[in-house]
Amino acid sequence: MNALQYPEIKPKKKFIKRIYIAVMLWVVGRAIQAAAKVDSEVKEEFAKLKDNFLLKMWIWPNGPAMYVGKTKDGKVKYLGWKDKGYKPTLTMTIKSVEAAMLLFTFQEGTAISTARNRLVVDGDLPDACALVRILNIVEVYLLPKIIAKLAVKRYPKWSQMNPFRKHFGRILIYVRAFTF
Amino acid sequence: MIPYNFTFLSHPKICSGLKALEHIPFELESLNARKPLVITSSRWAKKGLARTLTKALYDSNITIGALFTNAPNYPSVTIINELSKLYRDRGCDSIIALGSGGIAHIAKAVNMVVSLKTDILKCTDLTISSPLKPLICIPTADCEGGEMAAIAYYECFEKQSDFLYPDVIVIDSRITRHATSHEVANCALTSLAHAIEACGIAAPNPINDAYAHTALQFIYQYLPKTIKRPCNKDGSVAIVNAAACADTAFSNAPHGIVHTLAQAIVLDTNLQPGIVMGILLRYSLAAKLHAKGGIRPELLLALAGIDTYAKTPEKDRQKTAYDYLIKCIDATCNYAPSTLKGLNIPHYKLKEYARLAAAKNKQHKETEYMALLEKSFEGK
Amino acid sequence: MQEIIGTSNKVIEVDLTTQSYREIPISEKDLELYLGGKGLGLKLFYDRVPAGIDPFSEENEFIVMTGVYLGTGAPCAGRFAAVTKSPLTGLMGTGSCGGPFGMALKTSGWDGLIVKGKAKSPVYLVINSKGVEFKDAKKLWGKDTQTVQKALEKEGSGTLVIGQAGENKVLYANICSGHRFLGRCGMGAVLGSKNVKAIVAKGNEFKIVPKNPKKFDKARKKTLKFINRNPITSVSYRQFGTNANVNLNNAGGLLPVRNFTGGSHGEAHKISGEEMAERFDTKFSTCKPCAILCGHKGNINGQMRQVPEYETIGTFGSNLEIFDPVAVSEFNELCTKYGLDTISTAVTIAWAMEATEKGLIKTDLKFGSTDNVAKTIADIAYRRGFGNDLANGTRKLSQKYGGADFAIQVKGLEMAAYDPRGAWGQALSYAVANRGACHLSTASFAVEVYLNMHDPFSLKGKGSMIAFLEDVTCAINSMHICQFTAFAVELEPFVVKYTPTFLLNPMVTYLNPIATKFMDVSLWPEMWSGITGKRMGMFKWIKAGRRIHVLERYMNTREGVSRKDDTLPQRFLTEGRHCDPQQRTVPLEELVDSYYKARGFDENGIPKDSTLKRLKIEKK
Repeated sequence: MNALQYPEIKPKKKFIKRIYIAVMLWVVGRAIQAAAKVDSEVKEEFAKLKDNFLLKMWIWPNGPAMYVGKTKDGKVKYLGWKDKGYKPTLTMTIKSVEAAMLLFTFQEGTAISTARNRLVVDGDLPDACALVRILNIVEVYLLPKIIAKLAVKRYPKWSQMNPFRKHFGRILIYVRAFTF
Repeated sequence: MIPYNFTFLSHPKICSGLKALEHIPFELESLNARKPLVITSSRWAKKGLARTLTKALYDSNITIGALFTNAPNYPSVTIINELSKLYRDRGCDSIIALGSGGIAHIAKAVNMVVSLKTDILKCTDLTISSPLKPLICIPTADCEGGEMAAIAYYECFEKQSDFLYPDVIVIDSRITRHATSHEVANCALTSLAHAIEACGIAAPNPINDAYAHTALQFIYQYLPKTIKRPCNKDGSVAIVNAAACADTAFSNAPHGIVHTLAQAIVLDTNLQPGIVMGILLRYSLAAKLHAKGGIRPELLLALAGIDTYAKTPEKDRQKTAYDYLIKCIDATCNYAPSTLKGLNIPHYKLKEYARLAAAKNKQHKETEYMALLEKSFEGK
Repeated sequence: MQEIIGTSNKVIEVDLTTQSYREIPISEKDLELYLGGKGLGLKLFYDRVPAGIDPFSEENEFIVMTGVYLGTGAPCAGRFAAVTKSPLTGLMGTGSCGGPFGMALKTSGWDGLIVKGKAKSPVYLVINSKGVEFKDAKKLWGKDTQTVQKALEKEGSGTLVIGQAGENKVLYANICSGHRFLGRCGMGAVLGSKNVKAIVAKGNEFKIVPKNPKKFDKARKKTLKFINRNPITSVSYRQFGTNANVNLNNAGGLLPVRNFTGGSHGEAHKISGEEMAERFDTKFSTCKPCAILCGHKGNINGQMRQVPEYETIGTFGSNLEIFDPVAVSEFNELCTKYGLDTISTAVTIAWAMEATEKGLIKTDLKFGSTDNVAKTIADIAYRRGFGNDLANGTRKLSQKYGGADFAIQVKGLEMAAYDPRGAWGQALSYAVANRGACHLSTASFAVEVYLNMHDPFSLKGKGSMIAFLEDVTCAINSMHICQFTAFAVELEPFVVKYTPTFLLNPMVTYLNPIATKFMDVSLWPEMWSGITGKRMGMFKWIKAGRRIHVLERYMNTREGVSRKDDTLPQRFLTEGRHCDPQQRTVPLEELVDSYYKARGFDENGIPKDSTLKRLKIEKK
């Protein structure tokens, strides 16, 4: 056997997909921060969480990451994508770039993604559930109904979120997310 | 059924479905491996499966130690030794078998050699007492039975050990949809035979039955569709899943009469095992139906679902289950004849096959083997 | 002496069970469709014997057919064909032999002989024009072929004899006639299973005369002229025998070395025909009649012995890495005595050597060492010890002990001494040949490597070339004439001889189906036509060859052969030769596909109904 015929193969990088995911993570992170101020439901959910709550959502093994945490004064803040020695209380690991792509191109919702074993959660389960609920609300705000329907487990009914709250909240969140 | 008095082991983790291949880096690292040796055949390499796998490992810390694309279908000592050498030279720490049949068995044998640090021929008599190196099995839809089971075939030997289960089985439609109708028929019939033989034993094992029933259900639902269009994503994945379940059931049950006989015939004729098993199964079921004890009515529940099961009067359930099973086998009629004569197996060889089978599996007598062969020969 | 004009068209059928015989006529139609020899033998077998019988059962028949040419004075036509169901492969076994039995049978007034049933105790048959005598062979049983032939010398002018190997049903036992053999497919074991030690034909009772002497004589003279003009038939083979192939194969990478791993070897010249001719001072010892004179005998270690043929030299010599012609000739003599096929014996021993090396079995055999080889040959013949397993051939061995990747066999028949990786046409020919890995089904290595008429490593035109060569070979074996005359008859006519190779090669490679139409092989059908008085054109003759080949294939498919059997040992598909820097392997799937297309088989390798209909083969 000629071993040279069967070379070692080093893994290449998927740059474009990573950039897309990084952008999406940034948008979602900023949007969570904004929603915590705008939406009462999100605010409530965050209020119930521990004071030192810090979420790390990242792509395994060395992919882009997002840190969202509560500051000392109880405000929710997007802490950026760099690890500055944070100690996350809740880590959501997405198993691969492809899994993240499925999630962030809204082919699979968070619930399905977890069910299909693409998301690994490290931390308190109630926290994780709360976070999934928050993400769902944020997605409803960020995305048009046709896409958001795919991404969330149950699209909120009229009684849960009336159009006024939705559209007004959407504008506010977009404005807050993209202004510094 | 008595819910105790059984042992059951299913080691592998099954990752099946959309983008399942992309799970491999994570699974490998959780098995503490970073450098797999990938074994595949030139046929699959030409179809681009090796490329798909390589791409699935992008953006991870996994380096492919060597992508061996020239694996033959026969697990010979030569190839096992060469691959073991390649494994050691490159400093690999795990094995990925991309493909079914001989490829999976070569991977298992190589794994034994590199883990136990001994010669392959000595492995046959050795008791394996500790886990082997991580082995990931990515089956294509041309399974011949035993790939995902706790068994390895090499040369003329077979080695059974709980540690021979693959650690992870990855079933992805990008890999499974390249087989031909003929191969799908072969795969389904092998799984069918293994599943039925696993739950048809005298002392049933409830957990094993669950696996076997799942396999039967998948086959019944998806076989006709997949044979027509083997490139069908859902269908091919379902058939391979059925094979994985059937293999687990097969590992936890003694080898049956159909399996043993089919092996003896295949050794001599080079036919595909599933085709032979399909024929033998048809007549062994018919014999069982009329024998004392009969076919287990639970099979009907697995195949047809609770509605039909409940609707069928208790005394008819065996017959109905039999009809359903025959329907499964008949779905492959374009690819497999219904008698051994149709396969052009000469009659004078049957005795030799029965003798071989009796020597290999002593649970049944040579006359029993011969009776089944005679019945399958002309279909009487 | 009485005369037979053309052919006698009658065959004698011997029933051993009832010890009776009867005459069977051959129809003119069958003779025209199947030419005689192998073709007619197969047709008889097809009509008389059902599929799926045990080769060792009473139902199996052993058919010897003499060709149309035999006894007429056609050059190199001292040959006869035999057909039976082979115990080694379980398929149709055919063979060709240049011994004196054929001439004796034909001049006893019979075109062929059918042996069926099974004798209760060992017998030998004596055939003359009136019928058959059954004689007790208890005294001959257990004796070697040469002793028996000597003992039966006075009973008739030609004998067929089996040795101890045939008696013990060694699956590759052969049948001896003079110093020539019905070598392959284990025909000796079939006779052994029928308890027939020998068949003697009285001979010299009839004279064979062509129907149209003028036409026949013209073609005969032209063939002789071609044979004496062609450098292969008139120089290499005549001077050095078939062993002239050793040096050619060594240069072309076709030589089997160390159980088909090498391709060529530095010491190969020691066993070449050139060297042996000088060392042993060889003289002619050939089939009769012959114009090529490839058979030789020589003074080997003080004894006048037959010089081993190339296949023996290649398989016992280089394939076992024994480069000592004296030792090889010793093994050759042993095989002759015991009645063993040298190719299968040697390849089986090579398997045992490699399996020992790899630890699959334990024997005292080793590559490069002559120790224990002679003992092993005897063990095989008597089925003693491990010899009992070895006597079943490499296929059965590898099923029992493993090592199927280096069991050099196709369909159960061991491969002759041409490495298929050196010429892909030969590889295809081995894979699809009807009786197993048979080098004589096309001898395509000569076209590809010796004559450089077809690129050995091109996929282009291989399928149709092999199909064409098979047709011609089948027809040749039905005439029945020596296959080596093909060098003269095919290469000497104007078009082929005077087209330069650099033009011929691309034409044959890229325009194969058309190029073969320009190949003039009309001498053979002309001679046939001169003898029988029937019209036979070249294309009709080639079509008859195709009919014979497809009939044989169809008979094999009834025994279970399909695409799965048209393959090569794993070694040739995954490992390169040591001598080949490019480590080429055989791309078999593509080759087989193109062949099936050219042949009119379906993708599973079964002859299509339309193909059978076109060739007037009745489906059974």
